[in-house]
Amino acid sequence: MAYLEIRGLNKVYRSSARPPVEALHGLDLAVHQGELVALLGPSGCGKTTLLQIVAGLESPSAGQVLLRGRPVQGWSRERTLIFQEYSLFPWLTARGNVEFGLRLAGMARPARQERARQALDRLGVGPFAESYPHQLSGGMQQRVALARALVVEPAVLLMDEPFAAVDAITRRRLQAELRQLQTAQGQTILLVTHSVREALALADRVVVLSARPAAVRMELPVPRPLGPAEAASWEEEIVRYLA
Amino acid sequence: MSAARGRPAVNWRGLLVLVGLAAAWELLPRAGWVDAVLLPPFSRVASRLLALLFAGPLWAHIGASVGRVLLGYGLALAVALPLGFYLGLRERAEEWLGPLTQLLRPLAPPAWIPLAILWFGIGNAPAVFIIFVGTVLTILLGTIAAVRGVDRRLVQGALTLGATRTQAAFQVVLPAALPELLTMLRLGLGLAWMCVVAAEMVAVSRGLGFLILDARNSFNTTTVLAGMIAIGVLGLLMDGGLRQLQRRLLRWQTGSKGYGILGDTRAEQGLSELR
Repeated sequence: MAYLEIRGLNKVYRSSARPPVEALHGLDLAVHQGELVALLGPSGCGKTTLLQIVAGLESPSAGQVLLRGRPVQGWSRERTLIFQEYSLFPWLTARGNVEFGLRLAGMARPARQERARQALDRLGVGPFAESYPHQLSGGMQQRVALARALVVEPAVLLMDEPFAAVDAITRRRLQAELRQLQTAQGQTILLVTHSVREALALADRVVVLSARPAAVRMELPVPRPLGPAEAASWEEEIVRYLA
Repeated sequence: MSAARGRPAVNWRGLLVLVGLAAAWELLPRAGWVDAVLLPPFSRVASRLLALLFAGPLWAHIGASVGRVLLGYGLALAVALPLGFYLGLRERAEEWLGPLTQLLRPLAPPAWIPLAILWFGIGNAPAVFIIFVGTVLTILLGTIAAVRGVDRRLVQGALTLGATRTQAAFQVVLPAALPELLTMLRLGLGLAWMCVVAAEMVAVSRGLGFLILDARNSFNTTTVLAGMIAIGVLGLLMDGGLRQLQRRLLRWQTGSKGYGILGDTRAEQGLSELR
């Protein structure tokens, strides 16, 4: 049985003013433990809706999400969400941000300070522990956000276009770091992106969604290592498919 | 960070405007261009203000007005801050409150005077009531808007880090709304001072509003103006206190570097950057 299983997910937004909008239609997806799955799809196809439902922040109109065989109900730190920007608490330092989840979990101060320090060091932002988010670059902020999410040890990390708001060079570097971290820790990750290249660079498996209402169109296990020539032909194929 | 701790810079431009105005005010009646009975020169008003201050009676008026402002405004805060915070977290606060606020908005504080007297008689209670009704709605709506303006990603981030709804409300929404809340507190305090003259039309025998109205009855324009200046200065000082608080609480903000006693463009910039 899959670690994270999404079964027959439907989501319809109803409002009195407009005709109902179907965001997801019969979406099935299974993610294995330690796997990084990238969701690709045309913009506005409902990728973010899917992540919100997996996070438990929205409820599906039909279908269910199972984690380790149990249906999920509401949000929890088992399924932590990272956004593309503005996700850090601006009134807390980098360390304060990372400690946030640990403090909620009731961890004593010395222990959580130590854990936060380790997490920041692991992501290379240890020297910025006492900086406030506005003093950090976009890339640094995302590293801190990643540290904050990983430190609560979520079963699944949900990433909503986490590197979309940083410059190309930083983006490359962050992708490499994430890949490394994920392999080392065996962190299960479900990542939404609209960059085919990013999906290929990061994922163990690329899942291509259809235009709204989103359903799974294509699943591609990405072979590792992926040479540049191979990557280019895969990219070509996916782009053609999306277009 | 360290800049916030230093002495705030003096706003020379703002001071220059004040000095220029005072000079014009001094010259116009002295040159005979306006009637000195209607507009006594600045120096006469200033020396009246100092005389009232040192001879004593002004302190009682100041004490009475400050007390009413603090009480009326404090009551408004006690009601509107928690209620606004709660409603801001609810989905449909605007739908519940929209029509009511539109209905009450045109009713300026003096419009409440007759009712205030009928309900509370004369003395402090009706005056406090007028300051209360003059500020409560603004604080309520401002609080709702501040809470509503909080980026939902911050809240969602907190929830998926293990926060309960209550923890997210107090540990995320509250600090995230703080910059706007503090700006609104300053606005509300200004409003409270604007209400004080109307409030003290109601048969009180002390207070700066009373001083002004009493002086008007004896055509004493010098004292009228002295009283008005006193209100302005008190408002400015109390606002300065709140601004200190704002600066202290918002050290984490880009814009909280702080500006001088009369200018504050930076804090507002910080607010908009945060959005």
